[in-house]
Amino acid sequence: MKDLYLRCALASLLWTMCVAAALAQGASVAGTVTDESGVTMPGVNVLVKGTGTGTATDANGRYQINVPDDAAVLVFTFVGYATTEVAVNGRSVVDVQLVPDVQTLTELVVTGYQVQRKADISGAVAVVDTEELQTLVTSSFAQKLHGRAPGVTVSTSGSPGDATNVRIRGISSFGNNDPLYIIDGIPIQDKGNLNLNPNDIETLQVLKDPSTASIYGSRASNGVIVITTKQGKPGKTKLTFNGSYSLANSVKGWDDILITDADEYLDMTEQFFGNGNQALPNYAVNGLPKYIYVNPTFTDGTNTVANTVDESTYDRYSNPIMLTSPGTNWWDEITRTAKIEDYYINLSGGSENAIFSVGAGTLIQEGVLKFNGFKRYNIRANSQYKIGSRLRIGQTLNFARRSIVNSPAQSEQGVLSQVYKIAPIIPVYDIGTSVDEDGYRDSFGGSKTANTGNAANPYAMLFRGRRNVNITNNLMGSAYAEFDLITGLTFKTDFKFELNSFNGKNFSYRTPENQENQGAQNFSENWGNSSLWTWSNTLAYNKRIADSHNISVLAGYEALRGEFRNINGSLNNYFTTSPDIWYINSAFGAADTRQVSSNGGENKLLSMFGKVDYSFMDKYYFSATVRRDGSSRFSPENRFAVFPAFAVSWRISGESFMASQSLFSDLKLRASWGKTGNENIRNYNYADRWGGTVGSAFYAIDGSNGSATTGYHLTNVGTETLGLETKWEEATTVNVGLDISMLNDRLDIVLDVYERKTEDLLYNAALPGTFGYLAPNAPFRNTASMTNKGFDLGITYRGSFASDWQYSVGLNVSRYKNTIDRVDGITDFFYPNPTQGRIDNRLPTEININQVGYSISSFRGYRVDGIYRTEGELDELDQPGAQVGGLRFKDLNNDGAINDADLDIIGSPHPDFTYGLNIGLSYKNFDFSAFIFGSQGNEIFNYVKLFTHFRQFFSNVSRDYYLKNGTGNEPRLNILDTSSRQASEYYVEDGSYLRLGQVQLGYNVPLPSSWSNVVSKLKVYVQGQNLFTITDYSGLDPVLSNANIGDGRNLNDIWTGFDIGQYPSNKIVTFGISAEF
Amino acid sequence: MKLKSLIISFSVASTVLLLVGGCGKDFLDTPVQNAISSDILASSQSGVEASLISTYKMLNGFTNTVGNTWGSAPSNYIFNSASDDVHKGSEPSDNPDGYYEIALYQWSAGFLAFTHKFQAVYEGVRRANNTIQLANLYAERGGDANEVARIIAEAKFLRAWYHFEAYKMWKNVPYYDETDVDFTKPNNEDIIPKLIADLESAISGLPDNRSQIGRVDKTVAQALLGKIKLYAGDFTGAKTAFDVVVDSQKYKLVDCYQDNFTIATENNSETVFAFQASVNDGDGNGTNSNFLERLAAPHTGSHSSCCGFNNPTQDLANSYRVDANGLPVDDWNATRVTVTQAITVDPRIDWTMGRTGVPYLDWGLHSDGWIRGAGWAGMYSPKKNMKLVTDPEGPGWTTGQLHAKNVQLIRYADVLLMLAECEVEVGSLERARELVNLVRERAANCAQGPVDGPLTVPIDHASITWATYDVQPWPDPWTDKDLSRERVRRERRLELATEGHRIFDLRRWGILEETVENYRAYESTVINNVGGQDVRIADLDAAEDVQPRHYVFPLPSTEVALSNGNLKQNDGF
Repeated sequence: MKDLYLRCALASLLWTMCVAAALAQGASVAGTVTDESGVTMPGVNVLVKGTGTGTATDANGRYQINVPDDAAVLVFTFVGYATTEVAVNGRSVVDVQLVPDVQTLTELVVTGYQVQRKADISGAVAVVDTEELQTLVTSSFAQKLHGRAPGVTVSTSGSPGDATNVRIRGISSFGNNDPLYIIDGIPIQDKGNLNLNPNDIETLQVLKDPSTASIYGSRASNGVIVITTKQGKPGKTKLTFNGSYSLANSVKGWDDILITDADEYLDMTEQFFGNGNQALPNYAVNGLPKYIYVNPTFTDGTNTVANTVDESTYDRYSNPIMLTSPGTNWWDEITRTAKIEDYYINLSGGSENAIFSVGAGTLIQEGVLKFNGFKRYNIRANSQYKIGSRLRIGQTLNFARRSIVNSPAQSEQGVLSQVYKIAPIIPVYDIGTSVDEDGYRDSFGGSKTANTGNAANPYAMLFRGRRNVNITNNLMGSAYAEFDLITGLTFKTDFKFELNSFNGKNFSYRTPENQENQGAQNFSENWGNSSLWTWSNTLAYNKRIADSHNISVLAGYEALRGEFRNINGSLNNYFTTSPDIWYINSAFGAADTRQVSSNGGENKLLSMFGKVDYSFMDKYYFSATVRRDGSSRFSPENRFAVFPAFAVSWRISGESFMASQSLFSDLKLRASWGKTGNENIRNYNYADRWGGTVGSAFYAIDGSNGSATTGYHLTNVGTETLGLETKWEEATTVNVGLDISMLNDRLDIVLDVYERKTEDLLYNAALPGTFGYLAPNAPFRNTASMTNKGFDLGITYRGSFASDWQYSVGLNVSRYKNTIDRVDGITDFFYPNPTQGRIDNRLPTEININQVGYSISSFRGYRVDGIYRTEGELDELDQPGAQVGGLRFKDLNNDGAINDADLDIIGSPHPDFTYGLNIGLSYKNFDFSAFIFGSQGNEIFNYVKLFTHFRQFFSNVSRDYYLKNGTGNEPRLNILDTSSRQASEYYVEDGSYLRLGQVQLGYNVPLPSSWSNVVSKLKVYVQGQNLFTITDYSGLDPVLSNANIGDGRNLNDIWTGFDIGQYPSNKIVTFGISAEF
Repeated sequence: MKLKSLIISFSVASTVLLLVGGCGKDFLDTPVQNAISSDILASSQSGVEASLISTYKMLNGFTNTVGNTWGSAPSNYIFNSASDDVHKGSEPSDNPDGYYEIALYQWSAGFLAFTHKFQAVYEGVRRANNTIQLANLYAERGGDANEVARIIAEAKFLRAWYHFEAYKMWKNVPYYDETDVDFTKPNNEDIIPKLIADLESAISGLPDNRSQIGRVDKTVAQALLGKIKLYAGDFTGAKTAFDVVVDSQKYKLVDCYQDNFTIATENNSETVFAFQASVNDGDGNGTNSNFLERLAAPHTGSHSSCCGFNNPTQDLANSYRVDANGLPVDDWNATRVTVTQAITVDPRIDWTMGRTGVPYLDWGLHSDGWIRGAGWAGMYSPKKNMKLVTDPEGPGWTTGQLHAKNVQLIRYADVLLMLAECEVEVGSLERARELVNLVRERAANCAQGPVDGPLTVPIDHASITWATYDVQPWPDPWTDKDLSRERVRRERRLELATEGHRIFDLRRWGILEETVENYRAYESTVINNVGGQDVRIADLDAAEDVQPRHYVFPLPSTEVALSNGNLKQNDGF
């Protein structure tokens, strides 16, 4: 946080030039200003107290100023440092060393195309203390933000390198809710955010309301996260090193939930079949057999075939033989204590006219799941130059190469779901003893026996996927030139770009152990690249008039172009699994199965914007912003939209009537209103598109069996064909805020209350099925409107017990209430677009519903009205498929039958409030911090119960349920009960939790002064992440990811609170060191 | 600083800003990538033709949604499990989209099986309408009038076909033509007259003989016209249409029954209309194969180790029992048909279902292990939709799953039996007998061959050790109308079992309740011995009573909701 000099210098330069306009005559004082470590500080304001005389230090930290007399007092101010007053006392040389001021560190805020003092801002901005986050071990910086700033929630799984959904003030769109990330000016909307090394981050601020965000107009609807990366500073070249080594486990495992003992599993199976009057599976008839699978037919443990099994006839593919397991703990088999290594080194420094910072880092993160992991290598170089007195140029450049190995799909087909599907009586390996080239046993047990479900062996899945790697190379950077045309008027041109290239490889093996086994070895590969450039040109004018009016004006013009192109290929029936032939080459597989396709697209934005800030006497602030954006994603008539915003604030503490009080050091009331937009829909949304793949449109009209005649069909219907005009989604936000500093700045309170109304929400809601199967492929339309109301509260208190003991407590609490006000078109609700699901009456498609008057993604299903106890009770109500011992649903309309009319909204995934609590404590060289976050009042639709309670595909069940089934209000295990499993309140659980997010103990190693030339700072720490969680939720992890789950990894906010068994969060213990040389 | 220099600077800077901004509104123009426009398609015959091809393609029911839309499979086997021919199979909980409940009459309008079928047939309708629109546009631009007329005629046939599929399912469905822009039309009108009009229009524009086996011509359209009129109860009209088909002399029953279900011989003189499957045709997912039919493939232990759905019932097996004269018995469930030479059966039984101990095509003996659970699936595997060992296969999730076997949509035997129904109703009982006998005589021509022998053998071949086969024509004149009707219906079941007709036949005959109740009463007493254990088919105990409302399926509830109140749900749902 200490080397913000240049940016600050720019800002303060403007100040001081104005202030120094009228110089008085008198004695001259000169000197050098240095920081706490003796490095000279440019751009420090130097003022003669009680006068308008002032100057700023030059690039060498030197200043010269005329003072009226020897008694003059000089006031040195610099953002982030304590204001220091020094009496001249007749000296001609006054050198000053400034000390950092912790409280004001966060005062400088990068908003839009400017740098502003936080105090001058009327909008809602959260500045995140990046040092606090630095030691957290995550693959993306975005994951670190959970609970750290009021109004910011983060959703991610424990899967290394997985996507992260950052949500600012809840969910306000059916489509895209991602904030816009501005990294050194580069606009990025990316769920991964894996390219930036968190160690490189210098500042991070969250712009929550339109008065600050709407300068980004388009795409700012979900808030903006502005990040700057580390810059050098003039003076001594500095080398820093951060390193950490961590060990991770899951916060909870499936073995805490499922049956892992074979006898219990057998008993459960007997209940399940017996309660439905069904014959037992063969393996359960005479107790568990010795062999769970013998080809050609299953045999139980007592009959002759089992006793005459000739193991020598074993063949992995044609005659697999598997011994019955006394109880396989599948979770234990597929997980491990994972190692995470994170190293970072930075070199920075510079001279008066040139500064630089070069950082390089590597993160190697093993997944808690075996054979799963993430790696990133990156290097960043930032530099800035002054040429003459008016021209400044600079650049940033970051290269990252990252790879994800074997990232598990979080869906029914994914490895995590196999754990609750596969039976504990299945062995991990069959009787084969062959090992592969790396020494792993590679012939597996599986669900081949009838009535053991269709689960794949999860260990085998992970093992076979260990070489399936996705690699991304990312280059992003910027170059700018800034020229002072006249005093106060600066022109800046800034070109920013991001280039991505990616490659993914996937080899699928034969799976002889599976019931539904794959018999061929297939390979697929994809390559792609994408690019994005943005060119902005701005004019900024700053003027201070008569010492009390501050005006700054910004005007700009910006163009953006993004494009992508990719190619996918596949070939089936590889004759060997050797990775050396993982190439699409017809010689290696069945030539007629080769398939190649490519795709591409582009999108553009064109924008003009302007902003005026005015303040009077540092008491009254006013700002106005307007941005006009055009997006290529809309038809030419609907491309442009204008996003205005206004903000005012009043520093009450600056008024004379407050002068006499000492309770409040700062009291400021803020209000803002503004609009922001969202255009994140697919490209070419407005146009009809005809196309056709062999699979979707071609047909063997000649009866050839082996070739298909070309066909074309309407693949995407444009909005124009449907007579619709699709335009920008717009959010209008009103924000009122209060900033309070009191008790000698020990207590800070920031409160923001807001209402955000989103109109013309963009979503591709289903068209009537009479339009055919294009219906789920519908164009994005302006579908609905909704309101988010809420508040964000941040309270920080700092104090000390004794001179050595200092502490701080920070609490943030956020609440939002989301209500859908209107759904356009033919119904007052709509479902998210389909995905695969298994609940018979309601797919997940139709569990999360968006209905007027309710929150987005509310749960829909039957209400539970107890259990059917007798046959007689079954006759009372026409509930299809109901069984004695099963759930009785509520007949809401009293028509004597359970059907669609009885479906109701049965839950909401939205919390009553979320919170984060930071506690810091320091004693001499020790510092301790703890961070707790939580969510209260949110509900989870525990879809996994379909498996762990209702035995979809003869899955394993929850041990707790096994013990309780048929008692109280728990339905009975019953193979024939097709009714209880339908979507109902039974799946809905309280998802509230409190989690100890981080606890850390650090020690600043005292260094002998003789070392100071070598090592200036050395800190070691030990840290724990997610060490405990308090929750009543029965599933794996209430801290659910809603980022990229589902078969197509396509499920997001509309599936909030939907638990399909996501990769649980990690519990991490870290040992770290950081040093400065 | 002076005001003048300020103004100049601002002007200069603004100019620079705009210049370097540099790009006007044209900047935002982005040509559509990786797609073409209807304008381009309508500018050539091949473009319009390609749209027609994609309309035919929807015969396989494949809808490009996430997940697998088995409900839209062309043979309707998912819905046919509500009949007495098949069990749903697999595992009770392997129940995507409501399939098990459909079999057990625990119906809900929310089942996605209904949605998938609905979307698939209306996708076909829309593609047909798009084709007609393109053809009209092409005609305006001077396209060949004859070709335009032919293309429109084919499209109208397909439009009628898809609408009729919807009619079979729900009866009360909306009709859409190429002029419709409102897709929330009500379902309060009988669509049969519109389908008839489409087919009559098609017949006038279609060629006498199709140029390619997959296409339709005048006689194919007559066959569908007859079927639609039959469903509508217009026996005279239906007879007229079927007579045209028969009198054309273009079709003939193939010698061996199985030739209809063997890939190498499938497009033959009996093929009126079939979904033309292909595999390894450039689609890596095998979408043009028997894609949605594949759940009806045997389970683990078999060559396919697939899914084990669609298991023929014991009731169906018994119905193949014949008396000493080779004629069907009336009380078929009085004796249980097992794998034995002691019982004489119609040889079609072993082309229709896989029975343990009987060769399963050329895959070796069928075994009990191929069945996923006898307690709900019985003991038989479906057979008509399986490939032979040497037939090429596509990339399914298990081996042997995807292949290029066509799905028979209308075969000539079907036409003859529908005509026989008409003849019974108009009083030509002897003509009906003649038609039924054509089918029966052919059935006597070949039987499943032995494990190590040819696929087909004569029905009295010495290698047949698992059954005694016999099937004879009805020798005596038919004089009783009711009895004749019974015999035609019985023949229809035997000949067309598991081909997707049964549930719709039971409905249009008005005998759904009694047939299904009788079947359940018998089937739920069936006990199979599996691995030394007696297993009763107990799941039918949980089935709901068959009621008049079950003569139609419920419309998908989401479609009712999306229709602006215009789609009225079928009574009772």
